[in-house]
Amino acid sequence: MLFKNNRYCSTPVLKQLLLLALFTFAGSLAAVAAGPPLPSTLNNTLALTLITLMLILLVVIFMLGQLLTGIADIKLQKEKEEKKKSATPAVVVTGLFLLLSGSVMAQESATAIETAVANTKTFGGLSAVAFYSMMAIIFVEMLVILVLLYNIRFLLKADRPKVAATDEALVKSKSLRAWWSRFNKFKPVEQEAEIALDHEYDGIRELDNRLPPWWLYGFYATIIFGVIYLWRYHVSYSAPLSKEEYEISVKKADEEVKAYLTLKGESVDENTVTVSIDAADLAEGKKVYTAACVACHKDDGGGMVGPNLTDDFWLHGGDIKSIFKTIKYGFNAMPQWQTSYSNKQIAQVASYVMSLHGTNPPGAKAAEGQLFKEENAAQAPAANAAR
Amino acid sequence: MQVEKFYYDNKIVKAFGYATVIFAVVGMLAGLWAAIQIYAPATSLNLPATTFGRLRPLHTNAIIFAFVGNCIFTGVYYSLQRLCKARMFSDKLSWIHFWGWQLIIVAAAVTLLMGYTSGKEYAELEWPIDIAITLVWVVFGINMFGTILQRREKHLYVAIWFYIATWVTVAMLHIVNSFEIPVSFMKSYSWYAGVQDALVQWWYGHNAVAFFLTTPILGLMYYFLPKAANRPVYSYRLSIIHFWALIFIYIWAGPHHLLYTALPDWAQSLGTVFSLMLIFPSWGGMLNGLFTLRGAWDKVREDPVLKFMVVAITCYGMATLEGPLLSLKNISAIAHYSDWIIAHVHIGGLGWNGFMAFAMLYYLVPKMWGTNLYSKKLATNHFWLGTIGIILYAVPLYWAGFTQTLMWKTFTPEGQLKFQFLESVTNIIPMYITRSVGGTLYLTGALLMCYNLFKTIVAGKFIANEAAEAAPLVKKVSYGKEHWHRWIERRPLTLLVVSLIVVLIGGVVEMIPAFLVKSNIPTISSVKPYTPLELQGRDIYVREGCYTCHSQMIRPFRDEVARYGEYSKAGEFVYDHPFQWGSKRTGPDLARIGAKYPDSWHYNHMDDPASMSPGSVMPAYPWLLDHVLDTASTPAKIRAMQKLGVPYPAGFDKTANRHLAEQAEAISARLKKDKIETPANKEIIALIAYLQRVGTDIKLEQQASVIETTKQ
Repeated sequence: MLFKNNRYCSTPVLKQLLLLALFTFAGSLAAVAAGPPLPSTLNNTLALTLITLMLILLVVIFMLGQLLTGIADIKLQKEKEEKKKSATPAVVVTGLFLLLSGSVMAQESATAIETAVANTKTFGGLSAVAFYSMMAIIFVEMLVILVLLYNIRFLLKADRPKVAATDEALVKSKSLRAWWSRFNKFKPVEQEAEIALDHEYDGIRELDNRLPPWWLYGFYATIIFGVIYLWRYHVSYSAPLSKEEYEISVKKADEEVKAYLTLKGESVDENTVTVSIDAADLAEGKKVYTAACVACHKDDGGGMVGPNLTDDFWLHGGDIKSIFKTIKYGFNAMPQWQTSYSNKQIAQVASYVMSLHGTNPPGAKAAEGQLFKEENAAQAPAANAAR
Repeated sequence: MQVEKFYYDNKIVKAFGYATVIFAVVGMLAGLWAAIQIYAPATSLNLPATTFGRLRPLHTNAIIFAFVGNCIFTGVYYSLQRLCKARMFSDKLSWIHFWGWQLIIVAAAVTLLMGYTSGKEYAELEWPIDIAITLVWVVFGINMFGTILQRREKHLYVAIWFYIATWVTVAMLHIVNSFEIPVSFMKSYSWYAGVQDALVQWWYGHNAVAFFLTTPILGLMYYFLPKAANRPVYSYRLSIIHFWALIFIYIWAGPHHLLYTALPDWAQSLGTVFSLMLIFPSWGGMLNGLFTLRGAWDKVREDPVLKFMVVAITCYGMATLEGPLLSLKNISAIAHYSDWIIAHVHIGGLGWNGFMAFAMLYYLVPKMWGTNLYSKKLATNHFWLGTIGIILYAVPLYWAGFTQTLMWKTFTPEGQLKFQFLESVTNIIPMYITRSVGGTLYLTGALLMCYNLFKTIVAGKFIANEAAEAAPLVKKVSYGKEHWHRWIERRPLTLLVVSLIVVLIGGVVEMIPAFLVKSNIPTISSVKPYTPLELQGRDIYVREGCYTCHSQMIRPFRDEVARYGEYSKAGEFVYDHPFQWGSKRTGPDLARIGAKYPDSWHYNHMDDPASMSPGSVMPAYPWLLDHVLDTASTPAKIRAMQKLGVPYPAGFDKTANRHLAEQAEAISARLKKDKIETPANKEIIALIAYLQRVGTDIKLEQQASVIETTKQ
């Protein structure tokens, strides 16, 4: 019933529509005004393109509006000749519809503003606010065009023979199926003889159904998406390519980590690290050692693949700072651990390694590197710098 | 007009049908075995031939080329005769095609298990088999076109358009991707290197999916679905638009396998946008399938054939929506290298290809043996087992994929990676186990089908030559008013040529700039050719199929750079014939493995991975410690590389082995220091040499630049 009534929609609706169109126009002006200073915006190609698009769509809306009023006038004349029906429900329905699209617009611009506030990104030289509001306006204009087209179609459909109308009504009795049929532009199965083609292959016949509209417009939409995508990445350079994206993410992460560490006050590094003999630290250090070091240095530090850690000889310096550095950044075959463990953990494991000194485990590896004594400590950094 | 009497050849259809069933079971068994190895590495039996790296290529090749290949031929040989109202052009060619293809499959199985591989996914077969494939494919083409040219039906039905496009495109893909330079009878190097090899390979790899697993099966759908449902095809104009759009767009989509890699950005973007444009052309096929069933849904409830088809087409629709979405960079960033992709391809493989094949077999066997299916109930049980199998297979893997990626990408607030790679593997082992249960159910269903078909065959009587009659074609001058597309439907050769042109465009636009424009692959001066020992080691890496679990491509992500090191650059791969970027990380990336661990670590790790990383699911490679490296092949390998443009000095092939021995002795001596006594002539030494080299050249450049700056 609703759809039937909808056919009688007429002038009041149109006035609303035109009002809406005006609104969007005003809105677009407001948006431009709200954007960054006018001259710079107007020099921008993206802005110009978008504004042109908005204006073209506006013209389309105007023309469609004219068309709709024209058709509606003719309808109205006819209608007066036939017996009169209450037009109120129709107005309510269409009104609802319009309200809906209006609220969609409101939502759109609301989210646009939110995103704009959240982001300080720019799009092809346009500020996010300007970009999103322009896109929102274009979106709303498209909605209006859709509504107009929808109404025009309903008005035109009323012209069809009555028989077809009753058939349609029958089908529509099951609303979900009816919606599905309309959604796909199905030809009812009973009428498919009309669109059967005059050939068959091994008994296979073919119908010539119309393309489902959502399929066709979906296809167009993906093509438009493709054009915009390529344009953004390779023409306007307004979206970051892989490398830039990487640099942005690393910068952001570094800032976050720095902020976190400052807040927590845990900022030990190779310049400030000291030997700890605290039992808790050594226990933590042992845990890391068991997880990460035993495979090469053996659980007792006697060495296997990696060098002996318990003797007086060191390849890269035996003071706490050098050991910390060797663990953190790695050395030839020694992996770097800075990506797996925090500075604090590395300090703990370095202290634990120093606690192994002089334990003389059985089966330890022969000495490698230079003899290291505390007083030699000054030489170690020099050795490190040479790498 | 005089009606001619002739006979359809069912015998060849029967032969291909049997082959389909046999290789379905073989391919699935190989897959199941490989799936179990992921959580139970001991099931590799510590034998070279049955280890994951060789079993996985066997599984993929068996499913794609043996199972689906034979399924395509079964369907084409059955439907083409009937759609053309003609017997196959030549029985002799039919049988050459059949036996040729089966021989190729057997040769492929044997050589893959022996470790002969070109190291390019889905194109692993070595050059003599590549040539055999080309020849047999040409035989198939001649037979198909011979039949089409002798047809008694003026116009070609949409199924045949798909067959023709399939034939011509597969020929093009196979030939271009298989350009390789033979070193010996069963060893060759890819003509292309690094980035270019990757581009060609994924142009091929993606379109193996498109033109071997999709278009021919769509052709089969267009024949068997309306036949089984006894309904007219939904929309002729949808057929036309989705056919042309599909073949044109599909060919561009390959680079979506290489998002965020060292492939130039413009090629990646083309891959993304064309993949997204594929949604609707792909769905055109799904709609034409499902809407054809309008008015026949009551039959779907009854008929197992239609049941299988409906789920198959639905899976096709899901996979072809998922695929384009996976091609968006932000989704690829989380899905690529993870089990998500494995789940995705199995929705296509198990759902679309498997179920279409089963539907076709359930339809064909009763028809050709002139009887009814032995048990509808059994077939329905097969249907449910298969469907539940697919769900149990895919859902855990989606879950595993998400979990693993999230673990890879998680940092502690202090800025360290939160999880070791190994933790991300051990964490998803329950999902791997569930997946293999799903696979087992699916296989059980297939075995039920074997029994059901066997009982049907026993009950019926085979109709080897099916009688038919039709009037011969007469020359007609005017066709009156007709759809414009009817014109090309009368001209099979024009259709062939136009299809070829349509599929050439994408490849040409993407590949030619990547080969000719130098800025696409910026040179890195410190990147040098592999030493002879490293080259031999690399060949072992390829032989053992390491690329099936390890990538060599660090993407520019914060977590990957933190975990593996500096992200990979295009210029690093210029001597990689073939490239070994991989597509899945069951193990960690190896692009910067060089100089990360001591030689002895690798030695112990290959002998028993769990000894170096407890809990590892990597299989052991003990034979590498015993096998003696084949150095007789070194000079030929050097010469082949020189021909491909690798700048070894002239005459280097003669001194290469001396160089090789020196480097091997040095490694042996280093191992000895770590208390490992091994002769320098073992394969493990070469592999260690290669692994210690991978990704280190660029470090040299960085060190050089550091020295430069300190000097100043």
